[in-house]
Amino acid sequence: MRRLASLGLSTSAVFLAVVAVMLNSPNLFYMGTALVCTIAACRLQAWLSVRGLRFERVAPDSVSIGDVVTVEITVWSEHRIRRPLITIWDNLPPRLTYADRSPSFPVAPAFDVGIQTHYSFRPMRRGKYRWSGLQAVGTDALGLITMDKEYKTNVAELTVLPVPIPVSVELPMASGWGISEAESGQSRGAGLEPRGVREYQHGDSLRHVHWRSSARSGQLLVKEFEAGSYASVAFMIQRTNGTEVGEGVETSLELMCGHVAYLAEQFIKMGAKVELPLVQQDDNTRGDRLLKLYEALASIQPDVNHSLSEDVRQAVRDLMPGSTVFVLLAVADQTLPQAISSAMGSGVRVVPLVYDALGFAQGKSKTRIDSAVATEYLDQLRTAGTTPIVMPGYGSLTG
Amino acid sequence: MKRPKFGVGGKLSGGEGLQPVDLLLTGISSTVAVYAAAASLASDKNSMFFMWIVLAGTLCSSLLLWFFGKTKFIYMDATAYTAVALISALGISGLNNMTPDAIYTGPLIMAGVLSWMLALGSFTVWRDQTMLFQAVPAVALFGLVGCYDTFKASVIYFFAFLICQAILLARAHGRVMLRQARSSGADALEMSVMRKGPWRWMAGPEWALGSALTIVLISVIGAPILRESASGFSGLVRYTPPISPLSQAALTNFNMNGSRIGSGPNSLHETPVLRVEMPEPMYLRGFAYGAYNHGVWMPEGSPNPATDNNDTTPASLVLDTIADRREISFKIEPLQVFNTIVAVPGEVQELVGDSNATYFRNIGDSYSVRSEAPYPPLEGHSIVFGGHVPLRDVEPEMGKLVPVYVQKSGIPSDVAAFAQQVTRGEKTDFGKAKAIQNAIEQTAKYNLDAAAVPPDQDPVSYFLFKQKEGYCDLFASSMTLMARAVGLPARYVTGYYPFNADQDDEGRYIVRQKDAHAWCEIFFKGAGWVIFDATEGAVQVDGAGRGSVNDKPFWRSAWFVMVVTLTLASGLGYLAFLGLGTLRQYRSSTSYMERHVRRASAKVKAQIRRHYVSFERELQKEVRRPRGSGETLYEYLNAARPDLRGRGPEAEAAGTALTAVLYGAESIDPAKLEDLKLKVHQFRKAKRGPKA
Repeated sequence: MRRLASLGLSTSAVFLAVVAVMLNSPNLFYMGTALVCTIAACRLQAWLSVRGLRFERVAPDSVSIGDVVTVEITVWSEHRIRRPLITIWDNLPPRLTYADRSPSFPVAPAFDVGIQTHYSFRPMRRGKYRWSGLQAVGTDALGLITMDKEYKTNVAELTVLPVPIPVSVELPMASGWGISEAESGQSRGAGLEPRGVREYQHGDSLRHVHWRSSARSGQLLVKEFEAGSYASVAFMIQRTNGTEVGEGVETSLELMCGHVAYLAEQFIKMGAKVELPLVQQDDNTRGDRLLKLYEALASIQPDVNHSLSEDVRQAVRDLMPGSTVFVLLAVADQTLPQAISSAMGSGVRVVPLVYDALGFAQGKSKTRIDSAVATEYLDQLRTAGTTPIVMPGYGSLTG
Repeated sequence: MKRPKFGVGGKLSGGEGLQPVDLLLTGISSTVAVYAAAASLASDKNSMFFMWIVLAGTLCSSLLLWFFGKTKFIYMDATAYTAVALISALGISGLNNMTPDAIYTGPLIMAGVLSWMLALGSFTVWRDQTMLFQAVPAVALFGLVGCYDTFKASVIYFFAFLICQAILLARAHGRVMLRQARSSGADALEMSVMRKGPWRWMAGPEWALGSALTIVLISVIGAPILRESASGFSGLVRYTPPISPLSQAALTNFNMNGSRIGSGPNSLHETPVLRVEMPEPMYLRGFAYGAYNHGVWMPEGSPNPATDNNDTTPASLVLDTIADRREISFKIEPLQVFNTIVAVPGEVQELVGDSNATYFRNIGDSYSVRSEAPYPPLEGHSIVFGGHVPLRDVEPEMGKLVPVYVQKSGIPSDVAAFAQQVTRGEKTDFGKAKAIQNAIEQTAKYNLDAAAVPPDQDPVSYFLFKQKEGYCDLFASSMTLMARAVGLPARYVTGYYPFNADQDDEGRYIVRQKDAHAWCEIFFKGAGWVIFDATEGAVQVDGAGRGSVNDKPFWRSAWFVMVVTLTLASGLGYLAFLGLGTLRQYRSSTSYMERHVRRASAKVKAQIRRHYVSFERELQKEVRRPRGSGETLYEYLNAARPDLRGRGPEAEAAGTALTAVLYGAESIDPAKLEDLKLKVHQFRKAKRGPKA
């Protein structure tokens, strides 16, 4: 509407001015001059409205996928002038997929005090994002002309944590499988040495609250026990460049991360030690282990040049014998069976969680992908001594 | 039923919809546009007519918003506007007939379409979109007014329009911003609240108004400079603006496209038109017409007979015919030129000086200017009939050369019969002509204020046999048609005649607009075109006779009184409505609420204070000293307690109640106040017991 009005008025101004000159009509000269001046004044005011501003942005550090992120921006005017209202268009990184982005709250920048504005959006894809700069969009007082100007700002960092995607997977309960011990409830302290304390989670027994630490820290902490020497679980996600299949927010990597988040949460609740080798930094600081795991998941990008099997080989070296490694992959990695065999030989159990890459692929790309659920590939994995589990896609929650 | 808040849309509130002031400004901007358009076409009646419709439309839109502002109904505004635009465009012919001065025909049709679009569009202004779209026909209308260049004040009207639009646009933009503020997740907002907070540094409507006024100032100063700067290449296109039929009437029908007669009261004023040097007051011919068709005279002949060297042309015939001739010199200074025509006396023989470069000859032997004002004088020599030889017969050659001058078709039968009747017994053509002139003079009165001839009537027939009054156009038309009816070559001529022989110090005749005139010319042997003015001997109506000024103020006319009455009634209604709307809006505003709460709170506090003072005085009777400045009520009560003589419980209750209302965190409701009043009253009325 604004553009239309502006266009209409500009056209009228030019037309009247031209006709005024052509006919040498005094009245039209006055009218044309007034309209041309109006347009010129509007342009000048819109131009001035976005000049001489200063911004400061505050964004939350981390949120989960789908959470509403409200970015607060404070704006100052460097000149003591009245301006029409301006709005802000933040330079969100292009790879940040979001929904429900609201327009920014229009503000009139003041000289003497910072005026706060805000906008919100819902990130739809996990990741760690950094961005800086924004665009100030201003109009004239009549709202006819819109102008914008790019401003540099402080860098904002936002970690979008994955949301656990529930999945029902029948894990093989073999002997020595530490989790079965944990699941049975035996791992919750009885006969085991405490490994440390952690934040209280819903479902923890009050018997295991470590009162002294709780009193010291001001939050409820519970004793965490080693669930036997085998209750160590690692997740390895295929992150080789070009192995993320799918578009938008429904890609193989996103689904894997969501599933890992869910499974890791379950394992942690059961008292198991969960880690993301090669992705997660060794961090002995206290805090929410699950949150740290989510942050590690958020940082996973399909940007490494080596194969998943190399990740597995490298990770196995640091894992204790008896640990279980869940390897998540959608695209067949031909050297992975060999790496699995080698890991099994080191006493580390490897469970491949395989996804059908073709289920994510669209169009012609389907023909170029070797899905990890291909029968031949699954046979190769079985031959390597492991039992691959075929994971569900976005369409279903069960395998 | 709770009446919806004035505003637009169920989802919108807090000043996001159109407000009464928006509608008022839209009404004003539309009004100035339609007024300027009608005024530029010399139609005061239409100006008032459209103003009234716009006012009614604005009122109607206000009422619709009042009652249906929160329904989906208002979202049909675009459809309704499209409908009225189509009606205006397709039904202009019918709509034109509904206007008091049905002038929107031919080249003026676009002005009619746009005026009706604005007028009817004002009934559909329910949202910002339609409100702003009203500017489109308004700007186009002003463009036309500028092209017509007949209404100098149109610039002022345009500036008024521009200022209204600036405020409207700024307010609409403010509403867009409010909506955006809400979309960004802000709570219910009001402009008044926002302007105290994050929008306090905003350049809002007041800035738009200031900018618009500055632009007006710049335009007033800059436009003449620009025009002067562009003088080298401006005016490349020669454009003859269409002239209103009403202007034609006022200018004695100086129109090459045809001239309508019997259009109703004429408006003549003192404006000087020509300054003429000539031997005596003479008829100054402007334009001559040949064919007559039901009240409309059409020109006949070639556009420039003077360039035609053929001896058999009417122009050469005219000059050759005048045997008894007298040569006169003339010098005409056009002070105002209507439709490029400059009227001249007699038959122009030659032009002298630079006149040939500036003027060219028209049909009817008048001259048109080539250049622009200021116009150089038109100088030359003319031949007129000497008057020494008695007139007798007409020259049949003219009728052969220009058959329309003797054409009898189009002459109403009763007019022809009347001509035959009055010329019966006349032996010469001149005698017949004089007989016709006398008959007309005795039949009709001259009245500039004569009513218009009904459209279904032939004006000449109606004038001669029914109305029997009119002014020069009907007299001259009657004379011409009746002369033709008896076989005389006659033509209808418009021009000027200095009725009052008004001369300046140098003896030049000042011809004024009130001297505009029409007459009949009959072509006689040896004399050429001889003037027969049937108005000469006619009875003149007082104040509306020949050469009088009847440019009486329009506010004295009946139609204006009616329009004003209606306008005032509607305007008062609208103002009352506006006041109600504003009051309603104010009462629902935050500032009013705050004030109301403060006032109510002050009232409650005053009541509490009364009870407090009453209680304190009662205690003072016992304590026999005023309460100390640092002494609390409870301490004062304790001090009084030994002397209360059985009234302790009542005092305790009243004191507790007072403390609760004075310092309690809970809000004070009427029940608590009543309870307090009761307890204080009980304490005061409680009987004292015996002294301890």
